[in-house]
Amino acid sequence: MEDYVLEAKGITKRFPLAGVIALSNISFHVKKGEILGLIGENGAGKSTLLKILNGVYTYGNYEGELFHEGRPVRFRSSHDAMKQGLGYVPQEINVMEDLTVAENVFVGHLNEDSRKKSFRMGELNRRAQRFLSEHHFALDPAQVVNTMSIGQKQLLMVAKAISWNPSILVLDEPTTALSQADVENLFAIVRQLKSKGTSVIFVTHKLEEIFELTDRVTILRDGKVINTYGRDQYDRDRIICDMVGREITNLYPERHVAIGEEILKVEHLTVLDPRIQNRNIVEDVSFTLRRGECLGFVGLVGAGRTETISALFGCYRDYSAKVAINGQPVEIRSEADAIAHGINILTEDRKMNGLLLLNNIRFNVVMSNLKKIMNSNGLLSRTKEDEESNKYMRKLHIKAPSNTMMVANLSGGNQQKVVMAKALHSDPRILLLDEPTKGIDVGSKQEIYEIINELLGEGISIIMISSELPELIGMCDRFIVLSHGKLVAEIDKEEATQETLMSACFM
Amino acid sequence: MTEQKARSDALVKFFLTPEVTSIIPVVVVAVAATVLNPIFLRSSNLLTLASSLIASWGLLAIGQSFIIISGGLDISIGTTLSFAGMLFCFLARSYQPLFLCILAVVAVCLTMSMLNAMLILKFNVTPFVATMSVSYVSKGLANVVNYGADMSLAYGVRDSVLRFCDVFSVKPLGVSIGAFTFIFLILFSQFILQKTAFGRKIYAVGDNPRVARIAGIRVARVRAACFLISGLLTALTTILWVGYYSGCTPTQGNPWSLITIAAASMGGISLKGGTGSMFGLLCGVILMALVYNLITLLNVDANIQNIFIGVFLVLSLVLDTIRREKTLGKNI
Repeated sequence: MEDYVLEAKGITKRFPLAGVIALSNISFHVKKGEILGLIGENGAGKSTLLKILNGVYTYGNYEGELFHEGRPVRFRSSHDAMKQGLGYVPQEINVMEDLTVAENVFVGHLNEDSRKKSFRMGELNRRAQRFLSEHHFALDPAQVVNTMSIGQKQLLMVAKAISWNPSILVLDEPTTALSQADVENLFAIVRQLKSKGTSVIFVTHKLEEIFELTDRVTILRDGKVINTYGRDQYDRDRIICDMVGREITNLYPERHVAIGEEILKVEHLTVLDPRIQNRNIVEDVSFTLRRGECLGFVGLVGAGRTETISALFGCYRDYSAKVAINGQPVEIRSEADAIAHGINILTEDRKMNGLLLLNNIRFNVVMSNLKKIMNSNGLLSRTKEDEESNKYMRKLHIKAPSNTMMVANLSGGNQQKVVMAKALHSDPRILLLDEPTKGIDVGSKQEIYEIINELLGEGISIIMISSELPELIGMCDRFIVLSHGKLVAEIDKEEATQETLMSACFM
Repeated sequence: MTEQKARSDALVKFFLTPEVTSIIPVVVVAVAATVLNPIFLRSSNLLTLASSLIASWGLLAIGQSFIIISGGLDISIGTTLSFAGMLFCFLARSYQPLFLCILAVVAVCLTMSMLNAMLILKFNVTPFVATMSVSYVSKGLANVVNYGADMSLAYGVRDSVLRFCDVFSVKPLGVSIGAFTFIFLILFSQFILQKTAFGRKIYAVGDNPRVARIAGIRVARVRAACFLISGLLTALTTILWVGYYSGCTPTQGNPWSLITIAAASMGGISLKGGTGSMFGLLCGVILMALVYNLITLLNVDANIQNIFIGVFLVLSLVLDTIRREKTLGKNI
């Protein structure tokens, strides 16, 4: 009992307004110096559980008890949780861009002696240097954060959490934005922490990471603990089955679509960097897309993949290209132009760029083409609006009691399907998908893949960006590799393996 | 226990519905007014209320609501009205024909609203700061017109202007033309918001401009159109008011900017944009008008009146946040 650093007993969390029980009777524990994996689909209740552990949902907003080193704890705020020894690294990058690494690490306790009110920069830097090298972080204390890469920022957030000397550290999907090298770096740091006796809760979607890093794994589904396995019991199929509640035989469903004639031709696409003068984020990229084809864009973060499709969708003013659709040259100067030419997009960040969060499913779905829900007199028709939105809810299997449910109250996978429905509502012939399965569980992923196949079968052409190579290899017919804004390789399905694609990225 | 909690939550949600939250204080204030001063319930008082208060800044509040729902804010409409009104009187007293006076009013209001739109949409100035600055321009101009003094249209003007004043101070059924216009425009605006593509786009733009843009909506155009509507309504209000009042003072509309914001906000039109209805606004306008009327009946010092507007604005902002948290969760 005493060697449980953290124990949760009977945690239940209800959201009465949404009529949802997010967590029901969750119990689990973490031992000293152990790395516990926490895995589950979106909507399984992971985020809710983390918010309770981290003091976002304060004591009284949930039922059940938390025990920290044997004593019951009731967090009053995130800061309170942190002071009591619970470190938390959120999924989103959350750093103060204009401050230095040292200031970011020690914000909130800039002085070792809390009674002192002033501090010296030099002293802070030296202290940060000691701290960072002790924990093997390859970060420069004096560097200003906005010059760092996403991977470095992620490490910085971990460093910040560790600086409070937590007895337990919670990492929420820390590898989403990281390159392979950064991931290994992070894992090394986590193992180091473990060897020093710190416990870690590692939340992820990626099974590989569970296998590589964790000592035990707890699987959540529908707000319940389904199973907990020790390292010796790890079994891929069993864990997936527990997560999804059914067996997934083939993650990437088969597709029998005849690829047709060339529908899109892009030549010499060049996009100026909106932030840095005299630099191109995309330089002289040319490619074609055929009817019913799924074209994959491969590249590291910052290679210019998103920028390429954003330019194609008319998001940039400063770009040049020769674009032809069905052999006809077209001029795309705005998002409205792109939609008029039969292009639509599924953006990467659905909360920021995808959803109208103050509104319901119906409102969101019909937004991209209001003409379709108009009566002959030019006024909007509630009946047509209902028909259209219900049609997409059925087609994309959006799980909600009705089309008037607020999108803010949907789970991630369902939100993504609403964004997809919104794009499809404009009847696109070309669909641009930017990380369509990011932050989505295995079950929803497979559903999205099936939807993609269905769309290709209807003759829609798709360009897909994904940071998960297995997903791209499983879904795409052809690959274009981008590196530093330039097209460096074009690879056919037959030759595509993780190795060939990855090595092309570094050419 | 949980069933009870669910019931109390449903109750909370009911009371947070914009129309309900603004009608309750309306009733409370009305009852208080009747108790404190029985004159309140007399039809003459209620008609005055409808005629002067609601008709004047109520129309402005409609324009303000369009702007707020689209994600903007305009604290210059009141001062624009002051300037446009003074200009009307100045031209009329210079024996200019009526149509020129009206034309000048429309030109001034549209220029000011387009100036706001340009500052906000083209030069990326925060709506608050942009319209605040513009309001100082029109505030100054209003004082320049007649050296800070009031102007009357009762004499020294062309016959057409006199007739105009006669027509607009007529009260069919005891209520001013402005009040009828107000009711009509509330209904019409609600129709636009609810039934037309343009109305739908206003909500989308106010909710999240980036998402709206990706959905193919020309965001700047929609937001500029809202300012244009507000400009036109300001012009209309100016004309109606000058006709009703047969004159203007250089500070006539100055307090109205904030009152319209308070009314919209009390009526459930969130100052963060993207939500609210004209029926909610109607409740908010009636509430603010009642409060004003009560203050007048009780002979409260004019300086204290400001405190009331302030308190109601603060109250409505708090309500707005609670409403969001209850319907959308704390993460928004």
